Amino acid sequence: MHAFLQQIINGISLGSIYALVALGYTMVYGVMRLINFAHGDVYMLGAFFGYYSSRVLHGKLQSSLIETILVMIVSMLGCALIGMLIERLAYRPVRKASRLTSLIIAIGLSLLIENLAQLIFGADPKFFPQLIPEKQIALGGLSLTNQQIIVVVVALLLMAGLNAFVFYTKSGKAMRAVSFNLDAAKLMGINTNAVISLTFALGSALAAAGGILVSMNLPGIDPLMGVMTGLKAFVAAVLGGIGNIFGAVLGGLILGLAETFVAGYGSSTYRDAIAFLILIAILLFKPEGLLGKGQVEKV
Amino acid sequence: MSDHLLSLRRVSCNYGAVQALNDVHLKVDAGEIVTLIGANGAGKSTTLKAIVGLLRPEAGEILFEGNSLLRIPTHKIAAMGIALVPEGRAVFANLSVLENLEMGGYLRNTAEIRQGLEYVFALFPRLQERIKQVAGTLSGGEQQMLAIGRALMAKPRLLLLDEPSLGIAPLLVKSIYEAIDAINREGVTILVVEQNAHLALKHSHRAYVLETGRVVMEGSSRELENDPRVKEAYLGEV
Ligand SMILES: Nc1ncnc2c1ncn2[C@@H]1O[C@H](COP(=O)(O)OP(=O)(O)OP(=O)(O)O)[C@@H](O)[C@H]1O
Ligand SMILES: [Mg+2]
Repeated sequence: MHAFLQQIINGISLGSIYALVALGYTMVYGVMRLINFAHGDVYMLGAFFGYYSSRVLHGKLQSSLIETILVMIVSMLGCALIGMLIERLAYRPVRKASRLTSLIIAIGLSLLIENLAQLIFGADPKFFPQLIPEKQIALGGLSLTNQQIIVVVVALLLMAGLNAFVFYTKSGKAMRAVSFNLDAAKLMGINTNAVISLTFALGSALAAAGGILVSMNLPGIDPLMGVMTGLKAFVAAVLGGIGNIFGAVLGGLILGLAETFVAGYGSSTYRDAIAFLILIAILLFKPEGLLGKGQVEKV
Repeated sequence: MSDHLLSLRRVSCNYGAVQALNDVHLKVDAGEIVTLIGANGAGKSTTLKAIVGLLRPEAGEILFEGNSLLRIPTHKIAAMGIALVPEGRAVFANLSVLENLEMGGYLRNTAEIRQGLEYVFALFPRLQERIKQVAGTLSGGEQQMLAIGRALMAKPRLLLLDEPSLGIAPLLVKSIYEAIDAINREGVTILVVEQNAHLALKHSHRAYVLETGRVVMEGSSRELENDPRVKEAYLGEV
């Protein structure tokens, strides 16, 4: 029983990360009908921005909490900017071209970022500082770390913030309008280019947060760390129903749980395989995803 | 410069190899209801799309209050005071009735939105009863009311309507056209596209007849109602 609960906790913690990254895939798909395959690389850049900003900030501040928050903000802003640049320079020029064109651009862009990152940051893993020292928390025989709690709490706060933005602000409503009908949104006087740009910024900032939360628990970060996480988060978005923000969260959690259970009870060799099994199954049996096809709000 | 509210001069539009509009000219003066009638595929929707910039003409000029619209992005054309109720209504099905109306008033402030809502609900009380309902679950007629209400939220000076009677029960069509007349009496200039020529001619001051992308007739709606060619081709009378 304890082992089971332990897996649930680990799975939710991992799933929250997938959810944060999956949100970016799904929001961008919502407004542009495009899979931004460079999104996993933005997550990687988030980790590196965090790495460099913490090196600059380290020891200069009294509290490690403030340092962590600052590192987080810097990295999220940096990635928001990168996301907007990606949209402006890579995707906007081909928006009227065929889908194949933007797909090829997306893949090429992803390779470009990965290789540039290896060139600039170096290919070997970097040790990411422990922004907040890890503590074990015993909870009735379960072993939790404060890091796991931070991951889940921060992810929940960010998702709640996104939810409030999308459903209750004017720009959020405009984003939903754009995702439903681009031309009709223009007719309302909505600057749809600005809305699309904002969508990339938000999705990229969430990926950056995911990158930092993961790195706090990892021994090292490297320029290819976004490849597998990006793929898995993409699977999570498809599983939940691409374009649907609740679906992305649900898909992320399911995938995180599935992965920890496979690793815990089966063999950790197969932990990466489960994502692809899920992808194949969902494409075969429910291609629109669990919450797909407008049952719930899509963005 | 031109003193018409809207004028199209020798406008031609293509979809790839298909020429949809050929040398179309059209004028709308402030305060009028002008209608554009024609059969399926005549180019009526294309004309409206060209005005709001969703489609750019190959040739010709489109002026609103003397200013060319040809290089202005659609959202700025909306800000200039032109609202389009698109064919098929295009309400935001995933948003509530209220949110749809708020999007219509996207460029206006809170006080103006409140006034706009009052005006729209007075015109279409049914919308007020369904304020929280998701637009996708409204009936066709209610969606048409919502689409018109949404356009009015912007307080446009020129309202473009693309087949407001399409797929709607006759009784509702009547009340929608009564609303259009009422909107016009408030000072909004209207250009309405219709296949239902009878209805359109009855509720307009002037009319243009479009055939395969060309304007083939124009005149006052009373004249055209009695024109034997219009009677035969569009009013089903011989
Ligand atoms: N997106 C498009 N791609 C290619 N051809 C198009 C497109 N839209 C319209 N057309 C063609 O342009 C011509 C004019 O179409 P338009 O939609 O303006 O007609 P319409 O008068 O509005 O007809 P209806 O009464 O059926 O709505 C038609 O021949 C149509 O097939
Ligand atoms: Mg049409």
